[in-house]
Amino acid sequence: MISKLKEIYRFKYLAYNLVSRDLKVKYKGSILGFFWSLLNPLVMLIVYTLAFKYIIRIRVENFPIFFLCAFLPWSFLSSSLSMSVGSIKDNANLVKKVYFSREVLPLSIVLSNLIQFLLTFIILIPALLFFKIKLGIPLAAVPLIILFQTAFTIGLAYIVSSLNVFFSDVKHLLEILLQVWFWLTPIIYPANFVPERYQFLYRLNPAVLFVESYRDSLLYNKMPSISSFIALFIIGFVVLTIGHLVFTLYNKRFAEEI
Amino acid sequence: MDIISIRNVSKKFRLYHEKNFNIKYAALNFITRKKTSYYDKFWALKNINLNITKGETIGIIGENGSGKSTLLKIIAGILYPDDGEISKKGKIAALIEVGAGFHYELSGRENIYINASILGFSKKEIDANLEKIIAFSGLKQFIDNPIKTYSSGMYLRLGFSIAIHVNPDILLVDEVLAVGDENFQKKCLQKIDRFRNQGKTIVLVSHDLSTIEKMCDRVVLLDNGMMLSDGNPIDVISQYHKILYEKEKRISIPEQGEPSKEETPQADEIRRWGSKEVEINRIEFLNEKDTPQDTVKTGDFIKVRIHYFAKKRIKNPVFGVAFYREDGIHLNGPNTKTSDYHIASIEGKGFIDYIIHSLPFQPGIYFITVAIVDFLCLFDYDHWHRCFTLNIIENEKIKEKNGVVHISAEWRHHGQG
Repeated sequence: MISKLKEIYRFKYLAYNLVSRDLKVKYKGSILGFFWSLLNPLVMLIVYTLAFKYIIRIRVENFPIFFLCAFLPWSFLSSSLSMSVGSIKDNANLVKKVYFSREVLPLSIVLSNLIQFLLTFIILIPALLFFKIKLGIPLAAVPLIILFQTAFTIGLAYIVSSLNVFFSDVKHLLEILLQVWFWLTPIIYPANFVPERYQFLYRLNPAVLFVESYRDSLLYNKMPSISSFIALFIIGFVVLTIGHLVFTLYNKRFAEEI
Repeated sequence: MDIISIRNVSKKFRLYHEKNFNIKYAALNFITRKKTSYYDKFWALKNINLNITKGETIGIIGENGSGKSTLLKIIAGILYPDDGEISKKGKIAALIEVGAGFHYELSGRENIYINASILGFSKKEIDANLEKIIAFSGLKQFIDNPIKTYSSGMYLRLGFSIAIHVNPDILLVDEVLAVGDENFQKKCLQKIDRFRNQGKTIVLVSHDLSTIEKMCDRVVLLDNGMMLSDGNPIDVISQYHKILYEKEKRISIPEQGEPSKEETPQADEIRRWGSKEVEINRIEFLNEKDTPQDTVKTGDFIKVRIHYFAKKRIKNPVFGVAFYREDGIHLNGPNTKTSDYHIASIEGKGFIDYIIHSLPFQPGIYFITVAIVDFLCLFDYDHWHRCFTLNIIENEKIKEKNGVVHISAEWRHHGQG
């Protein structure tokens, strides 16, 4: 495991290149540049606010903020996964002809999405101030939650990208699963809307805990409980470990199956 | 010290029946609990054992599909063996395909950074070598152009230049040198040679047998995934020629009876192959008076007489000879066709003379190949590859000692005074 990490670390400059290329390609040549990546959550914000606050009339205080605190981390997760699922297969030429730590491929996608996620705080923080949300010490929990979510995301990215090499349906399946997962996560509604008798089942979805922890510390000025932290830590690193094992196992046959 | 050690390595590929093996099949397989396989197994390598010592240059030869590239990719770490073990020490740079990982929209300079980072190098290491890489590639004036404007030769130059300047301990090269122009090829070979002298390890895969012979200390011959031999370049390459010849024959003459005695290779016959419809019985080195010579001097008249016996009438045969220096340099290789000397047919006993009026080679031991082939020079009747030796000794009348040849020539001065 340690030597593997060292080997991945050897290719840090490759990861850096892939991330910066990804960001450059994304924003180069467009007038709005980086603001495109802010525009998407903004449009979503407007659409969902209109739909849920004014049409469906969901009764949630500060709906736009309530939505953003969950939607931004969710976008980090879902776009990381939908972009990394093809990362090995799309680089067939490299995988077949050059030796390098292939972990770098999904890893760099997650990292570039992480950077974009962090940049969206540029709109989140002013929005919090605009809605006069009380901010306090619980904000300090946010970096930790982000860390655990990143571990969780990397683990899943490892799994989907390596499975996709062997089964091309994984990509399509993932699209559907992400849709389902979106609605099963309290992004546009609070978790307590779910009937009491389904709560246990509902909370098996790890994203619920992530989203609630973000909301607690950003919106409700409430420190997540120690048990939530421990749970998030375990979820993040167990998934990362499983992902790593799956990836290492399948990695051996990448070059011939791709 | 073994820098690469390969023990009992086998590699199996799966050939899927369905082009898109998908979850449906996997699920069906799981539900029905049937072990129906959706693929055939194909052994690309079987039980390979190979130890490579630091500083060695190894050539891997064999036909297409013999497993050469698979072996190289296993050494590189791109493929993993299904069986056996491989251990390696040191940094590896593999040139398996030039331009793998190039980004066509980006400039040559940007691609140097990206390509070297794929090989695992840091920005600092690349910065330190950037100028050298550009200089060696000879692409200075194009380096800031997007590489989609480059020719395939230019890709090669850039790719090779990067791989060789990142200072690996082990360099793996697969066939890529075939792309470049002659000048650049020469530059690459010189660089590889310098690499060898620095005690670095090189593994070459190539169809270009003359390069392999020149460059390598050892050659490995693969056939159908098995290692047929591992030894000095001349012997292994001759064995390869022989195998190719045998296969060719099986295709061109499908109705073969029992293999005759001649077909079983004998130890001393390893450098001889051919259909033997005409056989070369012996060769002689003769002087002007047709007396056989053991040794000859530089500048001497010499006749190489090739005695043959044709079992049946052969139309348009071509006779050839070739001289090799002791270190393997191929000096010449004339044949009757290139010399426009046409022989309508041969049958029974006979001989042909290759007459050298003034032997140009400086003293030393020389190896000679003689062969009789068909008119298209594709089919060997009898080929003796470097089977004969000629000992050339010093000629007291010739004072010129520099270099490798003595050309029969003269000086003439035109000038004042």
